[in-house]
Amino acid sequence: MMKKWPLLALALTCLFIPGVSGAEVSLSEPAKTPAVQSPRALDYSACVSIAIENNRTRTISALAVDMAELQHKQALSSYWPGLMLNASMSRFDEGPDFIFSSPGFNGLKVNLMEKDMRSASLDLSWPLYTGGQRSVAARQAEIGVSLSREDARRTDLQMMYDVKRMYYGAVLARKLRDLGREIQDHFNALLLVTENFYTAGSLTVSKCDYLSIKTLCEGVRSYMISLESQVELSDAALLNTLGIPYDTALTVADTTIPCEAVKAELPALVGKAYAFNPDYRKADAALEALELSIEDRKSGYLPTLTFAGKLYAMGSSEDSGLMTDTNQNGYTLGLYMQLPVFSGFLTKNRIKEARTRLKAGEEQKILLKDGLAIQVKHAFIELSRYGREVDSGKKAADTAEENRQLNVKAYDHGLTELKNVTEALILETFFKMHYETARYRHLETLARLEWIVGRELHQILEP
Amino acid sequence: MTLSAPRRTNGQKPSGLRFIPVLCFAVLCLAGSAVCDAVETPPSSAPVTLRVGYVLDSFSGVSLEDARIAVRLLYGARFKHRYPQHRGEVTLFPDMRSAVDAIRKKQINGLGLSTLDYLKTRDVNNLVPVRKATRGNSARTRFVVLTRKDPAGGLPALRNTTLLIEASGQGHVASMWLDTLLFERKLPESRKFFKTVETMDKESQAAMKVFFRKADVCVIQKSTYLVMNELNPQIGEKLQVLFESPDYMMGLFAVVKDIDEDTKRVLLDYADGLSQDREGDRILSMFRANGISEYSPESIESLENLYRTYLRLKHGGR
Repeated sequence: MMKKWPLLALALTCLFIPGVSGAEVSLSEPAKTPAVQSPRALDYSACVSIAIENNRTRTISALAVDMAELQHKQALSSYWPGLMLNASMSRFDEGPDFIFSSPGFNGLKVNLMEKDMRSASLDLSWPLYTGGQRSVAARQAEIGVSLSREDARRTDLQMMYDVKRMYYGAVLARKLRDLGREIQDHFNALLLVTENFYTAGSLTVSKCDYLSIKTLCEGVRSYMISLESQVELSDAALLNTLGIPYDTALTVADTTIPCEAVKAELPALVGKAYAFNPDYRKADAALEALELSIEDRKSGYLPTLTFAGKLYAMGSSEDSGLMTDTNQNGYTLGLYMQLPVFSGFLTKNRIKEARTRLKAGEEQKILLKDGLAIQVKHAFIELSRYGREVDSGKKAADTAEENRQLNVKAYDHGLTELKNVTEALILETFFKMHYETARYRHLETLARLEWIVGRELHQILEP
Repeated sequence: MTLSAPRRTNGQKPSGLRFIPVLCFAVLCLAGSAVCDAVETPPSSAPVTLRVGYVLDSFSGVSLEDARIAVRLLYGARFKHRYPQHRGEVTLFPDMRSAVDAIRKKQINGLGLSTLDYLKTRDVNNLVPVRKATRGNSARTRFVVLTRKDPAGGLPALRNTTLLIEASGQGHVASMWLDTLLFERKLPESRKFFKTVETMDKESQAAMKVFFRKADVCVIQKSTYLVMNELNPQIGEKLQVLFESPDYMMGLFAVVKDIDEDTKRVLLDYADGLSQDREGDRILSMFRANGISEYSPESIESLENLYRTYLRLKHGGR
């Protein structure tokens, strides 16, 4: 059995590395040794709160929503009449005059007004009918608000997903490290004994025994470097995700990775994804916007009708010439209509272009719909797989623990050899690591599924 | 403290790790002396020299050389690392008589020994028990007399059959308990009652021989029987427990009565810190013990009663 130990150790390595790398640590800065201070223990909800507070992308998304809402209000402004107040003061080099050339007036020259002139007016403009352009613009602005809100929701979902991955990645890294430390302690103690017996010339310990244990011990020591490093990396990734300084000392409060069975059918999940997925909802809104753009371009065939009015007053240094009481104050009212008669088929082709864009958008939506269903299905299959892995992993870990306990008892009573105890310990460590990794993968997949669907499943699924 | 290490008598090395008996001996040393590492800072006292002895007769399955190596492990670099200002020396005694002689000559200040040896020499050994080793939740051992279920019958029916018993200090207690059972039934001692009395290296060997009808009766630890039954339920189906002994505390560690306080403090600090240290705890568990606990006189009462009853009945008393 001694010969199998290195293989088991190798198998342990294979488990260690993907187990932790499952956290997919990504860092903008290399991990550094944290400043010397007692680490603050944070639970998951505290991490979410910190991320909400510090996440800059989330702030940007919120500002984008504000901008879209203001654009919508701008679009609504066309429903209101426009009022414009004008005022001016001017001086001519000479006052304008008029010469009567008609017979009888003998070239009489009359001053129309003085050199100085002042005027003020209040102009009113109120579009009564825009051929549908105005309502289209308002609706498009409203869609813009929806789009930015979906973007903000996507940002929130991404943040929640990242925090969950990184937080429980750190929990997993610690669990694997602790399991590794347990077995390392065992092997170190074994090496201590073996080495002393071998070097002292005992006939009961051969060099093979010593080298086997030493190899195993050194191997585990090497894996421990990786496991310890993964803890540091996962902490650094968590800090990065939370948006707090890289040298902050913190630790995760949880010691277990939650794993709840999800009772959901695939069609129901796909349906929920169509209802809540931000990208899909954005596609719906984008299609509506494209449909509206057709209406907008059709307005090129329709007349526009505008009511306009003006209230004015003007004056000069002397009330003479044109500056009579009649001319100095007054108002105008008017109804103006514009009807495009011919524009070289511009409107017709603009409408065709908009319809083509709509068709392209519809095709993209079908593509997105299929892609979304595939994403949900993929995550669903993986979730089911990891759920079963967790179940079988639990049984394997429990059995391995029972096996180790029984071997220890048997060894205590001289009913088995030490190598069997050690082998049982390796198996227990292996299967416990496998079990913990499966729990993490289950949680990560569930988080990814929720990210895809766009809601936490427990909120949208029937209990 | 356990005295159940198997003895190798055929000169062949067992397969796999072949130092298990030595490890077993080492745990006895650990348990008895509790001289291993401790995480806690050693008491800051003047340099002392621990001169600890072990009665080799109390152990089984260990060559003198391996026993020395195991003890050197405990008193060597690890001890120096934990207690750089102190020295540790260890002596192995072939029997209790030589250990008592060493005590008389003030050559040692602490001794790991079986409870039975302690009781036998209590009037002359000048020792004060201070610690006992624990395994699982108990420091005690209980024996059972096992026979096959068929043919059924009580102790008298076993006359002129073959008895198997472990060859160790533990076996001595088992044998004493069985003899007492026989005496109480007005039967002769086991050597005369049974046709053959064989000693075995391992208790499991004894039980398996009875299981396979190669012997008629054996005396083993109850816990061994339970574990064997757990490993192979057929054991429980085919074998029956004819008698079950009270709990006995099998081994202890004692210091000489006139030990100086500094030396005693270092010794006890070493013992008490053993199971608190991760590595020490691992070593303890690997060595088939998982703790060191304080000695109390009542813990040896049952064995004391057995010894007294045995002597009385053996010499024809009532």
